[in-house]
Amino acid sequence: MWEHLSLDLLAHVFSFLPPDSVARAMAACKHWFDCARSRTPPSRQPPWLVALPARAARGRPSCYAHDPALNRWHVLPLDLFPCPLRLVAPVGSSLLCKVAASSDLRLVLLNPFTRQFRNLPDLTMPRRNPAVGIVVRGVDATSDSSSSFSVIVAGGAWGSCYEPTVEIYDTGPGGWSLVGPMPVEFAVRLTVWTPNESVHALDGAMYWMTSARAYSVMGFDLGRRAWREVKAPMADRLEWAALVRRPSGKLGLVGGYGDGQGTVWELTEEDKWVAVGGVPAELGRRFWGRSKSVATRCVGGEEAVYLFRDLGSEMLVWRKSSPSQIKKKKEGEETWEWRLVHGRCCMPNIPIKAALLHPTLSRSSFPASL
Amino acid sequence: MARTIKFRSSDGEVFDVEEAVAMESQTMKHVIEDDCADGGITLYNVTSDILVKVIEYCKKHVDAAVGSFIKALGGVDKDLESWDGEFVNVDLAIQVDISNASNSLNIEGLLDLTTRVIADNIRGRSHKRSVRSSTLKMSSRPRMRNGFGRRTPGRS
Repeated sequence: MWEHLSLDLLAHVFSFLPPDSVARAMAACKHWFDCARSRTPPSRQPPWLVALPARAARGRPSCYAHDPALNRWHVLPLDLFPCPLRLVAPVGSSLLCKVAASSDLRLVLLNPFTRQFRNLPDLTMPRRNPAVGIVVRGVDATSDSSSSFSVIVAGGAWGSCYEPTVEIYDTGPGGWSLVGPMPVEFAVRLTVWTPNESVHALDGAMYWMTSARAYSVMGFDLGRRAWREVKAPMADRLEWAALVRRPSGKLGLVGGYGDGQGTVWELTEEDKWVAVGGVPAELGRRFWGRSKSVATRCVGGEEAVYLFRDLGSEMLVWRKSSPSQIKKKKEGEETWEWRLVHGRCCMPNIPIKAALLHPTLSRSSFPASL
Repeated sequence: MARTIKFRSSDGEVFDVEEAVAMESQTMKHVIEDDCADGGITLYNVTSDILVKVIEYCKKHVDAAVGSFIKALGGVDKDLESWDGEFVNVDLAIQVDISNASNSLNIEGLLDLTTRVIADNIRGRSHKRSVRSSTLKMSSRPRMRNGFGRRTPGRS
């Protein structure tokens, strides 16, 4: 019976399965193994949180992935790469990382699930700690393989000066090219004050947060090559803040001040921030109640928002309600709910940098060359 | 009187199908629009028992679309959903055959419906259960190397 399923059909079946079921299916027979390994159907599953240590940690280098469906953590060894890596941003179903040991930016594309990696070519000029942003152009519709993306690098330090230029890397031509100059003040703030969570919004601009009190948002319009600054809501009161991409494609900001307080804002077309959600008081007290000294971090996308401190502690997740819960509510209304998930237990409380991505066990989604 | 198209299954049975129902299949839609359906269409890879089910699905969905304002307003037709649920309540072997037919005939709704049911059958199974249901021998199973699988030293 199963041998009558063609590869295309089998790939379609696998697209409905969460990654752990695909992994088990791959162990059934060579036909299923080859199919899952070589086909990359579009993901219908919720994204996973994938975290790397933010600084040197004891033990062998590893990456930690949280499965939201089973509420389970996985440890994926990163011994495939010769030296430690630090996470920069998610790119489709892979991670863009930088080499920790290098003071100048050196980027590596990595898929910790299939254990594939590839070094990006060197930048046009050496830069220390520039702002990095990703534009993912989606999966190529004509083949079942690689996604194409661009990497935008802005600012950075060179010697004792700041480099007020922007350069871009495209997977198509496969090299870096200088885009043009940028205001020196922006270059300084992006080099010194950005935690590097960027958002490519539907309006065609790349946004970065800078955390020099007060918080503000730097936007680079990729079409017009123009920079602008947008003030964050309650900018001088926020104690923590991060940028996320909202389901509408607009820019979102998650931030809070004081204990037990967190709000999600969305930027409208008139450059005004509108509050669209907030952490419920009871959950906020449980999340922030115990350890007030550790900084709050946030990552989010169109499908979920995670608030966390470190690897061992509980995390707050804001996600679309499951279909069974949606049926109980008014039809047609999309609801999001907050819940607490446990951290990676039996681990020291190491600070982490995290990203949301859809894991894939298919090797074909990774670019063949960069 | 609605125009009908003759469909011949691989085992020689002939079915008269209304044009609107046949057009649920994107493949057949192109054949009909190119005026190549006048002599009837032979489906060499679909048997009569499966073709009956496919025609039943297409007819139900065409009738539901004509009579339903809910779908036009972007809502969900609960009755059609529960009919779909009953429709796929068949043996897995028949599911696979219907899935293959909907893939070759390019009927998106039926393809999604049947592949989702097959996926639900596989979801959550241990790999041992998957092997038992697969018809291939133990020796053709690959060793797992990624973070999810278990290594099985000593087994081939």
